[in-house]
Amino acid sequence: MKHRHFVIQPCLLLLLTLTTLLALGLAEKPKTRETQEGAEPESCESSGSFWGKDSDPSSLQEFLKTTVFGQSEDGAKGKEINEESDNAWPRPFLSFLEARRNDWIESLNNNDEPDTTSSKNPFLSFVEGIHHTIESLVESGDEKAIANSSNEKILSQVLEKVRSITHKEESIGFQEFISIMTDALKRVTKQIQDNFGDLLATNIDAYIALAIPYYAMNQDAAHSPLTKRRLHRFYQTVTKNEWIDLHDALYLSHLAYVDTIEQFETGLDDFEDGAWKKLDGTTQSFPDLPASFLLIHKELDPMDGKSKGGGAFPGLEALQETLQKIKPQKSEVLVTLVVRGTKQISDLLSDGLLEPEEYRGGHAHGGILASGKNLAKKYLPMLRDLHKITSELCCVWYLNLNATLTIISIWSYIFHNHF
Amino acid sequence: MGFPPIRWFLERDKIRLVIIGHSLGAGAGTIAAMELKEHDFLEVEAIGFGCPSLLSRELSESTKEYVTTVVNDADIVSRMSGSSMTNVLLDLMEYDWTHDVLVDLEFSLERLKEVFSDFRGFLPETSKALEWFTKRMDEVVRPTIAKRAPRGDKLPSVLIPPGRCIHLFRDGYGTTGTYTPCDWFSSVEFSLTLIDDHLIPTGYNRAMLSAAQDSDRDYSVSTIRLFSR
Repeated sequence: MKHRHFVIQPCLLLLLTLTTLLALGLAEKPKTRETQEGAEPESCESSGSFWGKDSDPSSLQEFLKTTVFGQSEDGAKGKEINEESDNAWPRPFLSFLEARRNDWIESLNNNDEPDTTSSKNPFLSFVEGIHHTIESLVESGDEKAIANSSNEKILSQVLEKVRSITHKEESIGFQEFISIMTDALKRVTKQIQDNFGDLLATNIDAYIALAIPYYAMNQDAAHSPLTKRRLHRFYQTVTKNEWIDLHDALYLSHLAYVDTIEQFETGLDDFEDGAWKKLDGTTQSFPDLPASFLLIHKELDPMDGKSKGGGAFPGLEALQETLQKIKPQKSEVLVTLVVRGTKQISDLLSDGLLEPEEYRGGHAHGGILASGKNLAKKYLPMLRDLHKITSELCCVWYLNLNATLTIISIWSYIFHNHF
Repeated sequence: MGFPPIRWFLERDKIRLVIIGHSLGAGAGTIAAMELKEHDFLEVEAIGFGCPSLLSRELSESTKEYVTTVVNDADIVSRMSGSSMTNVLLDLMEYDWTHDVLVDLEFSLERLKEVFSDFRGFLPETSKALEWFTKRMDEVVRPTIAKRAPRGDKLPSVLIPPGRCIHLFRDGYGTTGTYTPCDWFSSVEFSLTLIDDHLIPTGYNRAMLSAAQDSDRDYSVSTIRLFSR
């Protein structure tokens, strides 16, 4: 009885899913096409994709005919396919699913041991059914070209829109700059006087200078490598891979110290095969606002695909992989904010405010607290706009599937827990 | 294998923000991360190198999930706060260096006599010179140091580096990095490399490359081999 219950419910769900899928798909179609066409930027800076190398409509048509829709010599047929494609699902999604279908078939063919579980288990049958349904919606297409073009296109639009936002920022006049600097200098001087004034006035003499090398020797002996080894022996060691990842972050931190924006961009091009693009940034710092650079990864959802799940059920695994492949087409965007350290006088003034200030029930370094808050204040609107833009651009056609996949996820989760 | 949970679908619509910085940049980046973390559409992480002593203990603890701070050996900036600097100045004032200077003097005089053996007769006899210096120390320097000494307890350190701390240190063979408590950096480690360790080319870059190279090596094995020969 229980098994029959589990067979009927997935069938009903499958029906519901298909209905939702088709309904949402039809409803979203015009908007998707409009977005894809309207979103084509004039100044696309892509590399390695069709959109970047040529924007000529005739070559686009040729590209679509030869690469996306197959190498048909028949013009009429090509036109027919083009017309059909107008009513089809968004290409990037289809291309991904097409690739997953091939993988799926291949994985089934390569499976030496007969998978008896999937045919017997109603849940796995359901999963396979859903997977095949998704597959059946897949049309042929050039996955890489379309995916790249989609990502580059989105990125170009994001860059364009975010830059238009950042250009609205007003620059500070010279007089105001001097006033800010003077004010910061006064605050730093006052804090130094408060902290060390009494000490420096009454106890500093020439003997202090003589003491420095001997005090250093004494401290060195107290912090010898052997002592440190003993102190650290019960703590977890950082692995090589962690160091490699951290070194990437160090590269960007170091790059932030360059003198000009151009130097920064050149350095950025050499980093991770030019995978990053600068959205905004300045080498000029102010007291309480360090120089910083906002970067975006050219690939959408670049952190994905790093964690692969394995399991006893090939059906589940394949569906999971398919879903994983859909993920890069969603709106998760990797953004990096690189903040420069102390380089200019204004940075020193931020550093100099050592006195702790109250912050969230605790205390924080006064000068840096103000810098951090100002940094967040500066970039929050930009990030909010970026989120809005990427969500709009990336998710229009994704919404077609969102409802369906959520239903699948809920049901599969419940089933998985029951089995 | 865990099938993608519902959360997997709900968390998609986010911007993943990684804030990176060195020195002041690391500190400001951490505060910015704390501020921006409050916004649901952002998934924030911060990585800082040589971040100054920034937060009080509880606050530092509260950022462990998303802030990583790398501190290179004796880097002074990560240990620098109003109280830690005052404390090191007090330590320096109170330190009795008279014995060290006499040992140094004895060694230097002997060495000078070796190097300039032809002028040996012009240099003072070591024992007599040491006696004269000891007398001067007792009369002038030691009373001055003693006058400074009774200043009471050191100031409590309020601020420490934020989040989860990694300490890179010279271990005698090369460089090692371990996850250590951040309050290890509440006082200044007065070393000749305290500035070099803070800079990226001479400090962090060298140490991290060395640590990455050394992470595969087991020096204890080579030591055992050496002694077993």
